[in-house]
Amino acid sequence: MLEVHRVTKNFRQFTALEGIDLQFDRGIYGLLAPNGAGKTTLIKMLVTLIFPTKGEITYNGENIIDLDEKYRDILGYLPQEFGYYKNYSPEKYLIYLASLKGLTKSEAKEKIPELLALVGLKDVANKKMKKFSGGMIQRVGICQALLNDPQVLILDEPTAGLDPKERARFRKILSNLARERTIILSTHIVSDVESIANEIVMIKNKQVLYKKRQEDLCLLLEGKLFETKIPFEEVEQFRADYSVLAEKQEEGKMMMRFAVEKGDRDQGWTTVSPTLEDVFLYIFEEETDLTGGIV
Amino acid sequence: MIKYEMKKVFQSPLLLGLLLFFTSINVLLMADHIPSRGSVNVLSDIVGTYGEKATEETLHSMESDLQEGLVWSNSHVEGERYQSLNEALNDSDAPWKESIPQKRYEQLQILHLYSQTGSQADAFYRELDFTTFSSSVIQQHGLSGGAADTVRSQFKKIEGRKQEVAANDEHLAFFFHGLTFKMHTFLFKEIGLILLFEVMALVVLLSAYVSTYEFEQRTDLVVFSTKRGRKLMRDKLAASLCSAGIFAGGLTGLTLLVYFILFDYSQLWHSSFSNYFMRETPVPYISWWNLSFIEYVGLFVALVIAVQLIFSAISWLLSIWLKNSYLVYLAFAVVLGLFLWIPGLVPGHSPLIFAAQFSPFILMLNPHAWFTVNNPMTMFSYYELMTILSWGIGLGGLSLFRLHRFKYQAIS
Repeated sequence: MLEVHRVTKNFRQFTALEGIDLQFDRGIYGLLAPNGAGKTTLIKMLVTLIFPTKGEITYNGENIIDLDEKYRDILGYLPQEFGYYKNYSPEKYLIYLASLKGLTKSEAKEKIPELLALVGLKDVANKKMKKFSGGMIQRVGICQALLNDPQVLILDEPTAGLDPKERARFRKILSNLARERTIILSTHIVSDVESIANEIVMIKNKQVLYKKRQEDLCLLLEGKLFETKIPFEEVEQFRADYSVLAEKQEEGKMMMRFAVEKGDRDQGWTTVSPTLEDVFLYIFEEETDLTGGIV
Repeated sequence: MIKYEMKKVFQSPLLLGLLLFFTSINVLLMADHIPSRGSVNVLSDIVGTYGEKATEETLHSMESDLQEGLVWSNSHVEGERYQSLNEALNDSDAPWKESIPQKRYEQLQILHLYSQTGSQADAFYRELDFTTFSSSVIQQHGLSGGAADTVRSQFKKIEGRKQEVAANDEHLAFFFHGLTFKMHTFLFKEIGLILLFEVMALVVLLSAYVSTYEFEQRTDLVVFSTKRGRKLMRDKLAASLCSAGIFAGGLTGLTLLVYFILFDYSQLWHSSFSNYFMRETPVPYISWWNLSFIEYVGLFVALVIAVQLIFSAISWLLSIWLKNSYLVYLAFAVVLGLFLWIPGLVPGHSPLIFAAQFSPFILMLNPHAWFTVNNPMTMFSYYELMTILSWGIGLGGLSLFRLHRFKYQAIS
């Protein structure tokens, strides 16, 4: 089990994370927060690229810094910006990374074609990566993260650059892998984790706000989420009065999806079931605009 | 892992291109001296005929042949005969010179040169007294106090070594006539100095290239989070050193190979380095130990490589700190400038003036005086070894410290 104990990370005067406590067992964990919330800082500490200012991170009870190679041996990591050698082919680059991960050349040569086939890159295994699209590069990144068959797989914004078909394929791969390992998937795109994560971790104001199953998170808005159609001229006032999570034009009016904590309910409002996206937008209301985009 | 890191160097078109470019420059530099190589190469015939040393017996034998040469010269003139070969060779208006084979004339001229030089050797070393040089050196470099004492004491040791040279007959070994051909200066000063700067440029480039590679390709997050982790920088240090050694050895080897193909040293490999013939200045070259020419060349190549390994380690240290190859080049240039500038600031009365000379940057400036007594500021028998060892140990310690620090350094 991977555990984060009272971890604080300061960058000189700036505190990025404060008193973080988390436990990760087998399964997929969605680390969900807007950009700049400290997801990447937490992930870099989990992969030993940076170190906590206070507190410690343990794996099966031992500090990951003390475990050193033993910990990184069971670790797979895809950074937010996956760097690669432009003049190398995926196969050549993966052979290099495999040796860094402690695989023998024969093990690597057996594993690499399997992984390239898994992400649909088998046909371009020997083509130089400088000609690859962003999605193809990201798939090479996923391959390298899986090279050593990691027990802990940490993916930072892994679907960036992937098209919808590739995202679906990626989610399927993760679901299959999650049975026997810990997967931590950091994202600000709710749909990436909505269907596959066992638990969602939300970070706000430098601290863990929630670590719950999706269903439990959705209960936060149960009975508080509504939809109603209003004329266009009333939209501005409506936005000012309620927490609007989404809106769209429908039959000459504006369909508003909004949350109400307390107070009177209008007869014309329809109660709707909250989704994870609703919860995310509601919790991070200050960081989002009215159309639900992240600002 | 070292193999993978070295592959990056050897697959760099820039580095391989530079290696070829520098080799071409060195060949072109040698090409300038090709016209004189006919005269230079005559020495091999002389050594082949008379032996490796200008002993009394050898000089006698040479004198007999020179007498024959005088007869031969006189056979080509009408009227007044030459009394000595010297007179014949110095007769610039002699019409007979045009009627005889040029090669035969040159051979005679060069045989006469070596015979004359050889006959002066013993007397020259008898009269040469190094202890008298100390005052002029002290005055020339503005030394006083402890520094002046050091010079006097060193010149005493040099005088002892000179007497050993004369006793061993090292000074009698045939070598290219220094005052005429300046082959030592050409090989070890002109070519040697350029070679050292070329290899330094290559080594700094390659060490910075391989050591900053992950940061510049933005693969640092991926590679340093693998099992190997930060130990990769250790591999990069080893790869830098190995590649530096190969590039230094390669460029030096290629340059010397072309040089020794062009200029015939075949009979001189085992000539004593500390010979009188090689003298280019009032003071002849004297090595601290009885070295043959081939041993001297071997030591020269070893020192070129050792100095470059030092530069490679410095570049690696700068790389792990700066993480940007361009900044490393700039910082290395600053370090080079500082270590050349600082010795000039040390007061002349302090023995520290000599301590400041123990740097690879100063060492690199005088390759023609390596292992010899001929540079007053570095005239210590183990100057080269001490410089390399002290810097090697210092940089080794610093590298271990930096590796330890890097293990806990944030990578983001």
